[in-house]
Amino acid sequence: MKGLARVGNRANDQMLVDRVQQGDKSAFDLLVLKYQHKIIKLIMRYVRDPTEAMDVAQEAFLKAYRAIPSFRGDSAFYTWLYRIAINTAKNHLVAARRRPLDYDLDTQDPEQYDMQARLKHSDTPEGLVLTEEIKATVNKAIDLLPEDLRTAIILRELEGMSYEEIAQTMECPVGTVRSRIFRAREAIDKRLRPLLK
Amino acid sequence: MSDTIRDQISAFLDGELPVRECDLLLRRMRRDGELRLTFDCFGLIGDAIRDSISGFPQGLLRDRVMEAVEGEQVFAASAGAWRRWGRWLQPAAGIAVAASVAVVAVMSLHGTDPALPDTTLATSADSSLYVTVPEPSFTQPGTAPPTRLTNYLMNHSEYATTLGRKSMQTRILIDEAETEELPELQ
Repeated sequence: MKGLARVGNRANDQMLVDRVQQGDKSAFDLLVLKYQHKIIKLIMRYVRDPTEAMDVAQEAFLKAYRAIPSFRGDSAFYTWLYRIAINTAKNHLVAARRRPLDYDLDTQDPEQYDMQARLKHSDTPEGLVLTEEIKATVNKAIDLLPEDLRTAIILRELEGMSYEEIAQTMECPVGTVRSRIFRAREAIDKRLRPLLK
Repeated sequence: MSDTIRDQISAFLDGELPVRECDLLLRRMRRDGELRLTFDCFGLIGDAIRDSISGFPQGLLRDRVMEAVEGEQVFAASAGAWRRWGRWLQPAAGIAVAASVAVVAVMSLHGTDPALPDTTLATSADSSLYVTVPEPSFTQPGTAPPTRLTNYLMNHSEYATTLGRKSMQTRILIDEAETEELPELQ
């Protein structure tokens, strides 16, 4: 595999961070696109009002952008961003003299949040309708996929397996896994795009 | 937009794109909004499968963040590089200062340029801050070197103590100057 070294998710983010540090704002755009949903859901655990949550999320990303020159890569970018988001939300509540909703949440552990996030919903009614519509469309599209494509995308997105691990599980080459995941995404994307326009 | 590039975006999102392909893809995505939209949609699919979509209109937060970021200053092109080199440059700069002080000290000891006025050794400093040692005439070569050295050391001791006094030679010279030369000057 010499010369074909994969970047890896953490290194992927670091590559984008390096670019932002060199003045490439579009690289920060990709980081925002990648983590916007996670961050807004995280903040809504603290700030229930959707308008306020949106403001706090924006502030958190802006703080991250301003602090990014000092990001040394000691932790994963998302872990760093997660801490900024939680601190921003807490500061927002302190400024508003309100008790945070989830002070028991582990501020150092993004994974813990992912588990707890499934237990509560605090989105707006309109947002929930859109969210449900997107989920239904994606699930329907997944059901319509050929078995090999469906397995590949589920192992990747739900189980978080690497291409190498999926290749071992499905007993096929890594290149085939990459192709199956791409084709699965393409098929789902075709059904999803009309919703987003 | 070709399937090849979309396939690269898919692999990049998973951290599975070969390193050598990343740079070109990122440059393409920088220029092409449609490619960034594909990146967004592929990411949204994953969020939907993991049930982690926020209940906000798609792109609203991103648009607001990027609008705010546009108003921010662009980081210095070499911010990251400076950070990496900074830890090496700091001690190197210290060594350079120490070396230059040592060179000046050696030059003054040997009296390489007798025509040069002694005060040029401390021209950048405010003369009022230092004790001025009366200079003998150059017609008295026997006393000139110790006095010049004393002038130099006293003028520079204000800001060169940490460097100069680490040198054994300089320390000895300072001690000699303090014990032998100064009483004569009073």
